[in-house]
Amino acid sequence: MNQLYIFTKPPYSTDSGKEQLDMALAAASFDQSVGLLFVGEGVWQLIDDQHPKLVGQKEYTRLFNGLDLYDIEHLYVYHKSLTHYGLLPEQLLRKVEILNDAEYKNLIERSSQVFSL
Amino acid sequence: MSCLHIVNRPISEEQLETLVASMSSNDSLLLIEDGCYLIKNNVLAPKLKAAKVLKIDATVRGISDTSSIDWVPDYDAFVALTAEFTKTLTWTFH
Amino acid sequence: MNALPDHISTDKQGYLLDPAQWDETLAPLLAKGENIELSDDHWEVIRFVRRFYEEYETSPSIRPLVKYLAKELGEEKGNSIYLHKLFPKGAAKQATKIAGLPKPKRCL
Repeated sequence: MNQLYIFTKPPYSTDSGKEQLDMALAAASFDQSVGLLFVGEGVWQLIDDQHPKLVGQKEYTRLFNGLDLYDIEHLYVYHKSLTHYGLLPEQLLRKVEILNDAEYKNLIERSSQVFSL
Repeated sequence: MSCLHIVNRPISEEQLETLVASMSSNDSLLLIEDGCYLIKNNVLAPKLKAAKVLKIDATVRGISDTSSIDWVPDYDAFVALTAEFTKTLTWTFH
Repeated sequence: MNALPDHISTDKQGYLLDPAQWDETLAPLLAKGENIELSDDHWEVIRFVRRFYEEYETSPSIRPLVKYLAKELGEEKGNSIYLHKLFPKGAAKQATKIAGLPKPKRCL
């Protein structure tokens, strides 16, 4: 694991999720090994059945489903962030790796660079 | 690889727990800018006993009567501190 | 330039401003502006580019486009040489334009 991008915010009130996704895609296109981690309110980036078009916004979160085409294969969610909102993995728009406390700590530890926009 | 975790805004209890859970034994937490207010937050302060605080930012904000704080005096000391870690992570929950 | 119907507006580089206005009758007109006469092979790529956009809400740059076509059509068509032959001035740029999509943001 090289770079880890941590999503801490929900998708629509700020551009930070979209911009961080762009950053991750750019890094991956330069052959960096890239992982995405969703914690806190950031787990709402991954919720299925979003309808931003109702307020004239793009559904950029759909691209989370196509990340293998951009050579990004690892998406992680901290388990407590899901339970904090009463969310189940099947309510997310794609399969992710759910991290327990030890795995979560370890992921941050072994990443050489960590970002949170 | 050690990490210096930085907080520059007040955060919620859940956010603090998320952050603290991510820290390994070699990591440290540093409060800067508006993050300094957290040490005056009665609910969260007990969880921040190991946190370092950038003194100049706290002083700017009128936070001074706090004993037993692991102060980082000024920006030079802040820079020197970051050099002790392999990486830094500024948590932006807002 | 090619004569697009009056209600269709494009940016300076010829990309449609509103991808929702696109239909297949526009493709040959847009292709003409690129000096491309559409063959069945072109159409196949254009429809997949369009589908990519509908699936992921973004215009594909060349790398994801190649991977997507390889996944859907096999390595024979999912490779950059094949695409370069069809779209000599850049497959992602030209195919997205003909498919009525915005220019790919990340030309990487």
